[in-house]
Amino acid sequence: MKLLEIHDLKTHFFTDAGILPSVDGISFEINQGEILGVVGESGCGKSVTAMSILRIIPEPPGRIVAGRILFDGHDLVSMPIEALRKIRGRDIAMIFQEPMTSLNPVYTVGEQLREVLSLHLGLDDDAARARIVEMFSLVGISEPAMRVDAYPHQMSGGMKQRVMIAMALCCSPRLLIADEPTTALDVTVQAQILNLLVKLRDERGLGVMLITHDLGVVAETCDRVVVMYAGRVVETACVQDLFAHPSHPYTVGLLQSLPDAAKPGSRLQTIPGNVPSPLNFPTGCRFRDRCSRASSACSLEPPLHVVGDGHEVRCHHPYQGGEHEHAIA
Amino acid sequence: MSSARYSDLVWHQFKKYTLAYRSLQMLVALLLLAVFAPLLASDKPLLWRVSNGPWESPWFWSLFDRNVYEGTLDIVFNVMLVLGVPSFFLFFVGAVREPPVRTLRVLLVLFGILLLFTLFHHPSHAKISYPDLEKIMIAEGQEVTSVYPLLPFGFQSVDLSNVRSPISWAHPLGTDNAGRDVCTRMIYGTRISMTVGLFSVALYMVIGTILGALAGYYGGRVDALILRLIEVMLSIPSLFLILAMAAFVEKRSIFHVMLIIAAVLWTTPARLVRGEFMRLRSMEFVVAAVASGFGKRHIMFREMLPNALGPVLVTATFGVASSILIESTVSFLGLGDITVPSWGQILNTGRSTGMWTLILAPGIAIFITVSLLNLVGEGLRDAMDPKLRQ
Ligand SMILES: Nc1ncnc2c1ncn2[C@@H]1O[C@H](COP(=O)(O)OP(=O)(O)OP(=O)(O)O)[C@@H](O)[C@H]1O
Ligand code: SF4
Ligand SMILES: [Mg+2]
Repeated sequence: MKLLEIHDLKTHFFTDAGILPSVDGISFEINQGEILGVVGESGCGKSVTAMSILRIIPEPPGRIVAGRILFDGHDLVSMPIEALRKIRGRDIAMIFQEPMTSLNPVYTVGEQLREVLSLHLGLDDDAARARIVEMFSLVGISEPAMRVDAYPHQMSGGMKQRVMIAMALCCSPRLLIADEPTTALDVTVQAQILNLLVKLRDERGLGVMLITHDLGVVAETCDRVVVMYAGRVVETACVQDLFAHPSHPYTVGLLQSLPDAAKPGSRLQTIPGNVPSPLNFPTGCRFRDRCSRASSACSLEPPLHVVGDGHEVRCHHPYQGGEHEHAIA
Repeated sequence: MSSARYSDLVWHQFKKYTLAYRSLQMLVALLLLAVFAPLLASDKPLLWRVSNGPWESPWFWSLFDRNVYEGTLDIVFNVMLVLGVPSFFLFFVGAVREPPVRTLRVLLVLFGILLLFTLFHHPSHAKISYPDLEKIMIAEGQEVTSVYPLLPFGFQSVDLSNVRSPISWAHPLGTDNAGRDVCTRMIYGTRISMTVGLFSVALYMVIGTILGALAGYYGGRVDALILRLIEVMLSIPSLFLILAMAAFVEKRSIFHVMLIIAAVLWTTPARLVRGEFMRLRSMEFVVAAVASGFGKRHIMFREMLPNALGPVLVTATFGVASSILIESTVSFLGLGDITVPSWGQILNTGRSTGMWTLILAPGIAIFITVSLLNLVGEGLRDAMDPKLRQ
């Protein structure tokens, strides 16, 4: 079942230097009980997409200029803010990259969760406390009853991120947006938190939008993947297809830059060049300055190819079949 | 020790700065002096008995008497005094350890009731001069027993037979050109200075914080508007502004002076809070709170404001000092409230009469108070600086 559908979303930043089309016509969907990975180089618009869903873009300078975001069939973009506030934190929750600054330093973590519980579920203090302890043990916080009264600075980064997840999950949302939730954490904690997300997907049918840089994380946890480049979705596929038959030259480039994709002894490949500045994206395919398969046709908007079941790619010359194997070899 | 609240942390650190901590203690002592002023100086006898008549305490009843203490300010302090003695025993002498919230609430209600009571309380014998009465009665052959405070003078009681008297045991700082005891007036002046400081700062901190918060939170046009307002206020020299405003008010009371001070000083917290809010606006916990569905009011006042208050508190401390200085300046220039014995008023009298005690005493008092406040402010600033905390 489709939980969230994004149709042709455009979020632009109107700065003094000019208009930045940071998110420029993207479409994808998230199903119930599915972890959707969103990958792409820094600055390609992953966070802006996530923030657009809950309309927490800093405004000004940012603004959603076009598109629809359907949640349960209701358009979040055109919805009155009061109605959206009821959805924020209750039906759609979000966790951020930086656990160090994601909690308010002046309140205990328990107080911060209690506020959310009383806002959305109207729980009184005792009920809220019981619920918080329950959530804390769910996310793997040891001695949950004691931690309720701790201040953020008394906790480690991993612990804070767990609190953030507990806060995001305490009202039983159906969609969780996780913007690089484990980047700031060490590897063991990272694995524990990702396992938790998988468990919640399996047990509660939680839909997750997992933004990450780490293709290893994608391979282990995600069901489907959206690859973004320069404010656009360039490839969408289920995770097996993406790793077995990457189709877009940019995706292939990303996979080649993975250490375990390279043959032992061979040099790690990187994509040449840099991400273009949003101020002057090339016309047509935005990847063409860096693409080895580029042709003159690529200065025109690339068409959408369906190369497999639920596998879509936006490119003039996508890799077909096992063709990319030669590129990697 | 296990308490980890930020305020506790700052307090713990503050106590390590000996000079600042001692200064704070001295300021508290000054505040107590203001509250307990009538115990030190009053021309109403604490105890009074004529012949074998009943014991009376004109002093106690005069505390709530608007014919004796004309200013609301003094009455408020007197109510604090009356409640202060029992609460002192409750808090310090009694074995109360935990903050007694209920007791505090009861005291607050009592405070309100007493204050209301004073509004309707008009005893008839208020203007009696008890020292004179005593002399007359003794001359008539009656036996009078009386106990006065240390300084048996009222801050308003004029004694034209005793003007410009030098320093003596009876008058530790002499008397002024109207025969009023200078020491008494200095003690009551503490009340004025403390109130001017605390009240105007509270007033302009609220104004400045709200405007700064709005500017920093909304940005854009709201910010531009408030910023222009601040710039206009800043471009006019404040003394000029004060003089102009003072000239507009015909019958100036001390509350007008406080309003004028607030009107001049609000820009400092406004700019500060604006900056803090702009910084906090993009902090992840604020964005997270928005994403959790909280409304604007919650975001501004529950999430952001407590995080912006630290620096505001520091400027508030310095602000108390500037307010006291401004009040003194305004009074010194003859634009203040002439009915109150503020330090600035005493200074003004000193200037017009050329009496050195009237210049030196308030001068030193102002200097010490302002210095103490600045020391406390600096200590607070350092205590809040995480770089200086070990
Ligand atoms: N507040 C802002 N003001 C102006 N431009 C912004 C703002 N936030 C984002 N942008 C623009 O949007 C682009 C995309 O930013 P975004 O944060 O979505 O990247 P990202 O894909 O999340 O990168 P990263 O992996 O580094 O988090 C940026 O390159 C920037 O130009
Ligand atoms: S459209 Fe052309 S330039 Fe763009 S990725 Fe495909 S081949 Fe490369
Ligand atoms: Mg990001």
